Formats: sequence, C-alpha cells, structure tokens
Amino acid sequence: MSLPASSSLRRFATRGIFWREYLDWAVRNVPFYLQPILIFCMSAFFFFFAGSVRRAAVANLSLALPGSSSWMNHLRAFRTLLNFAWTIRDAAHFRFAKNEFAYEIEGAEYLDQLAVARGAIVLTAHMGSYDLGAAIFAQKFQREIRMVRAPEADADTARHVQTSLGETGDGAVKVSYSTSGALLSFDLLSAVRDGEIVSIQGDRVIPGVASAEMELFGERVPLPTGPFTLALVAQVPIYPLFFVRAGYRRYRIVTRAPIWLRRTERTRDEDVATGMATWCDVLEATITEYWHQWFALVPILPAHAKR
Amino acid sequence: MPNAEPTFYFSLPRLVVRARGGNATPVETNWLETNIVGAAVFGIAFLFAARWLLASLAGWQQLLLLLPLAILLWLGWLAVLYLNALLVRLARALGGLRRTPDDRAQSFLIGLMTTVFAFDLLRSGGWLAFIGGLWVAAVLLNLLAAAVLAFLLRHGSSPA
Repeated sequence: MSLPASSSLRRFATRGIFWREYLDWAVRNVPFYLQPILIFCMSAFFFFFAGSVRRAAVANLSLALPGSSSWMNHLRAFRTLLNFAWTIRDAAHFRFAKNEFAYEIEGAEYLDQLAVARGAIVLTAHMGSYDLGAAIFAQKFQREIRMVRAPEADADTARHVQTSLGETGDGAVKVSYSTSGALLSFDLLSAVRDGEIVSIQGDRVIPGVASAEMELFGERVPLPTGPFTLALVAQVPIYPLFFVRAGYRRYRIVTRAPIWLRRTERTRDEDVATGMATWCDVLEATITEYWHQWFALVPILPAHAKR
Repeated sequence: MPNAEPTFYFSLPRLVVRARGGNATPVETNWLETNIVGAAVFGIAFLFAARWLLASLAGWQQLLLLLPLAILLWLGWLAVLYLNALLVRLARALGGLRRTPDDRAQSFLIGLMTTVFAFDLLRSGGWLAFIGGLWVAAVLLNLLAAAVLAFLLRHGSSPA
C-alpha cells in the first residue's frame, strides 16, 4: 500500500510509525482488563478505514475458502484483523513484560529435530505471531535465529521493527531484509552452512524477489523460490513452522515434517519445484485450518492485486 | 501449558481460591475475569453517559444514538487514558508513584472514575441503581479481600 507523500501524514498511514508507537504506549499504560474492548474498537476502526487491507483480506479469504459469500468473507476478514491486533499486542506485551505465554506444540518431534539441527530453514507464513514465535523459540532452545523479512515502506517503522525484534528476542533474533539481493543470498548460504537457523516467510512475494508460479487452492500463485534454492544448495532441511494464537494469551507451535530437497538428474528448477509443491500442500492445509490468522494483508493472487 | 486450576488478578476471587487451597498469586491471564471487569468498566461508563446525554430524548432517538454514543465513548476513553498518563507523569515529577507501574496507576484512576459513575447510577433509582450498587459492592468487597490477603501475607502465610 502506498504511503502519503507528506512526512507528517506518513506517520498516520496504516503501516506508519504512529500506530506502532501507540501500541507500545497502550501495552504499558492500559490495564489488561480494558485491552480486549480497546483492541476490538481499534480493529473495527482499521476494518472500516484501512480499505486496501480489508479488501486484500477478503480477496485472500475468497481464495482459501472458495464458494463462501462476500458478506461472510467480510465478517471473516474482521475476525482476521481482530486476531492480528491480538498477536501484535501479545508480541509487544512480551517485549516489555517478558511474561511467559502458555503454548502447546503440534509436531513436537519435528521441533526437537529443529532445535538440534546443524543448519536449517524455518519456512513460515504471515500467520499468527511470527515475531513472538521466533523470540520464544530462541529463548526455549537457546538458539539464534536469522529472520528474513520484507522491508518496511516507512523508514521510521523499519527502525522501530528492528528495535522491537532485538528487544523481543533479547538479541537472539537477527533481522535481514529480503531486498538485499545476491549479497543476502550468499549471507544466508554462509549462515546455514555455519549451522544457523534461517527463518523465511514463504506465502507471498515482494517485487524483485525470485519467484515461481505454483498451484495454491487451484490457482496459479507466485511464491518465493529463495528458501528452496537455499535448501537445495546447502543441503539443509526446510521445517514448515507456524506460531498461531490458540486463545487468550495462549499459542500453538505447529511444526510439520521437514522438506528435503535432493539434487537429482533433473534441472535445478525442477528440483526446486518439487520442494515448492510439497510446501504448497502444507500451506494449503494450514491456511484452511487457520484462515482466521492468515495475515498476508496484500492480495496474493496477481489478478486480485491488479484490481 | 494450559493451567487447569483457575487463577485471578483481583483480590476477591484470589481470596476465594486461597480459601479453597488454590494458588492466590495475582495473574492477568484469566480470560473470563478480564472480560467481565472490562465489560463492567465500559458498561458503567456507557450507562452514565447515556443517562446524561440521552435521557431527555424519545425512545427511538435513544435507540438511534446508541451506536454513535458507543463510538464517542471509545474516543472518550482514549482521551481519558492519555490524560491519566499525563497525571501519572505529573505525580512522578512531584515524587509520587515512583514504584507503581503505569498500568497499575491507570487502573487506580480508572477504578476511581468508574466508582464515581456508579455512585451517580445509584442515585438514579431503578435497574441503573442496581447496576451501580453491584459495582460499588464489588469494589468494597475487593478492597476488603485485598486487606485480608495483605494481612495473611504479612503474618507469614504464603499466597499459595
């Protein structure tokens, strides 16, 4: 979404710094029992006034839940925004109070494998609390995570995100931005070869990032190829992992079976496509189950984006 | 991991839990408690505002203005929270509330304000007075429970 040109107005854009600073203030100042109603009101405010975000959520839901009415998808989009508000509130709360969150684990055996893996890629989506998940993983297993994120459109917001992640993860979560091009690819390759865990979001592409069209919910959707090329070259596993809200101050770590990309006689693109197809199956199943926490708040179908 | 035994933040339910041999350490993770207290605070403020702003209007006008009033009340709360934060800052500059976290100080001011609204509802009679009375009774019982818990703690008995 484009931000207003004037710097004073940019602060108040949907992805502007004002709302992030306001959230930080609110988490420290508003008593916990007033937060549910205020979160509901703020979600309603954004639902009505952040039109592009609402439309994107509705468009993505129509892809994930075909056959449902537009009216129903608007209600679902509101639920998605409400969940989004709770997850960013919880991440901010963890950052300031460092209170433990209750969480349950689905696929504990894969999480245990990941914890001791020497070099691995965590592939996730814009789902649940990505930031909080990384911080809790780093804390629980005493491991550093290198997180790859899409760059923020606003410089002040980018600085705020960097500081927040540093504080949330107590320095164990390092951030790299996915526009740094070839330099980033070499950097990430070197990191996984050194035994580090690299976390990447694989449910949408941003301009300039290598992608391939794959089938998701029966439609051709561009998805990033970077994580799969990295896994193939470094010969490390990809662990699909999602950190979803399971209730009030409760989360669920969902880990799926690792995806291994093997070098074969075929071309590299074909090997990569095999891994991506497996990821698409995992992504489809996870989005179908947790559609109310899919926060890819831009249209992932190119046709929807053009509209 | 989810906790099977209910835990609370406010003193009254904590005292009850303690009397039944449970954990009386204050925690902010009880969904039901959070929403009941939040709805009570907003509800009493809403009834107070409706009583003063809508009482003289016809029934259909009152009905029509309920949603705008709720939105106005939300904006009012945002302003009140900001003004409270400034008050807390002023109190700190004058040497007070140094050890009290921001949200606790806000909680005290909000509790005070809601109790003033509840006393106003008490004066109005009818079901509004009943709701105002419920809040005042809950506040008084909670304060009493806080005193009892503090006494028990001071006399060597652990909160759990």
